[in-house]
Amino acid sequence: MLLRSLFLKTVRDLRGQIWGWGLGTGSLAVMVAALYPAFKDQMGVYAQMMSNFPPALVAFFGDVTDIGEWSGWLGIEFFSWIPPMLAVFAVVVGTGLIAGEEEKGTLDLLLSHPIRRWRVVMEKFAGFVVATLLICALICLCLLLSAAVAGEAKDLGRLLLAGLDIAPITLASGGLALAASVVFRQRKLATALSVTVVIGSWFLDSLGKVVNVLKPYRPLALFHYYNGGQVMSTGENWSNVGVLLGLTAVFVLVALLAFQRRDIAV
Amino acid sequence: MIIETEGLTKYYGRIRGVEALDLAVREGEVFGYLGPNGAGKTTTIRLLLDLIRPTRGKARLFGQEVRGHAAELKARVGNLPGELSLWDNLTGRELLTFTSSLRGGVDWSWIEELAGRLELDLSRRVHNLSHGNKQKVGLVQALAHKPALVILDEPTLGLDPLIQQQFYSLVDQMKSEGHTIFISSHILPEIERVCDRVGIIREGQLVAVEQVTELKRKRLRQMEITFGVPVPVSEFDFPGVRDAVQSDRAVRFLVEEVPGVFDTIIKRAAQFQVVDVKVAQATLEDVFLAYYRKEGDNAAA
Repeated sequence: MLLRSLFLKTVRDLRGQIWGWGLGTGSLAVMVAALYPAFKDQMGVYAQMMSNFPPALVAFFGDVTDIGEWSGWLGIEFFSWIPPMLAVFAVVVGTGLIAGEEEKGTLDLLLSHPIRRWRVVMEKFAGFVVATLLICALICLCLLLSAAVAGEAKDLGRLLLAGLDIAPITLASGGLALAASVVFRQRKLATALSVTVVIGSWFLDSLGKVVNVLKPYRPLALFHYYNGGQVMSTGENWSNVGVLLGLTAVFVLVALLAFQRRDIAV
Repeated sequence: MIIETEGLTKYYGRIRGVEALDLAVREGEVFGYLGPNGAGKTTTIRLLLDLIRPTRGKARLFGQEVRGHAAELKARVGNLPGELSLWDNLTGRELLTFTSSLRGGVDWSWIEELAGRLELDLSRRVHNLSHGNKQKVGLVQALAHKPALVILDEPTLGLDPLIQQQFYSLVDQMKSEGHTIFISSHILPEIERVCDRVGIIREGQLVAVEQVTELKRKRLRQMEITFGVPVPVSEFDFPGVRDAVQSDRAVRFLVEEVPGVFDTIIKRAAQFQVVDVKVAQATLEDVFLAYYRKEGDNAAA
């Protein structure tokens, strides 16, 4: 059944990654939740420890004012770390969608069939989108479990929304990787470039919170538009979601145009 | 014309792919595309399939230009790429399910028949298959939709003779059913065995298009006779013998298909003490140098 189209085959090829990344990162949420009750009891000690850290360092790890709360705890210990991890998934898969097939030589066989090039890009990227959403769905399941473990049953809607909020930043990273791999044709180069941009933007955004010189440049960072744990406390910032999805569309468009024109490498 | 190119030229940066190709392949013929490795055979095929874009010139399939109509045209083409790469994690059946779906479905009884004829087990994963069996999967994929035009790029490369015969008999059948077949190869006997006409490509240029019967007439043998004592090459200076060279006590030359030529050679050789005789099919390069050398071509040096 999963071989009835290029889109479905792409999802099928990502089965292992979906389960691995979804449950792997999701289980971190459960672990973090298991630690929460103990942490909550020690809140006084922890707050004192934090007050001894330089404010800049504390700020780097995010907004810690509500770390004693369940939402703040998850925000710092889970939501701030997962997207940089999933960026690895996004870059590996994004660069592999076209350039991976090209390097293996299977793109010649694929394009010997009556399928248009733009359709190859769209179906493959659609497969990646579905894989990302399935990973987020698995993370959401794990978040529900973690809420049960921590005994924090309120605002489950926002918790799930925060889980889904991981998708836009992951899609943008994957779109960037796809565009780089189609434009530069070499998977290694595209991977290096995408990792530099994605992880660089994570650092730019994090450091920009505390380093005044970098502050004006924060809007240039992809991660500036990732809402993370804040979704749980203040709700979803839809304009940020819009920026990330818009960027994703731009990246895919670049990939489409570049792929339409160029030679397929042997 | 099923395939037609007009001044088709492809450069990869400054590296020559093919230059000013004017090819014409008629409906229902088996057209051989013969040339040594690196001559531009695969480049031509990839241009025909719109995998790469020409630097100059045009390619047409079924009378329609490839650029702009590639997807529609490919519905009527079956292609077995050279240096075939398959999706290794699939079984043969899964792979064919996928490729068939890209064509909007095909007749599975024909696939089963093809697999049966080629003795191909479709339940095995591609990465467990031998090179020959992978080629078979590729061939079934190329023929699955009974395409009007079949393009085969070096289809028998690395295959054992038994499987080669199976390939050839399939090609014969496709031809008898009216399919047009474009087959690239650097193996002269293979082209002679299956083709009606042959285009000969060398260093990116089409140097000749001939009937296979004409090519067979130009068939060359390579002969080497070792004598007990050194014998001058002038002893073998008669019609049908070319490019004779002497090295120590051996004399080497190419022999054309001229009636009675072997009789003359053997009788001449018998005047001396013969120690050893070797006869082999001439290489493609020998044939090129003998018949298709260009003006000012110094490749023979």
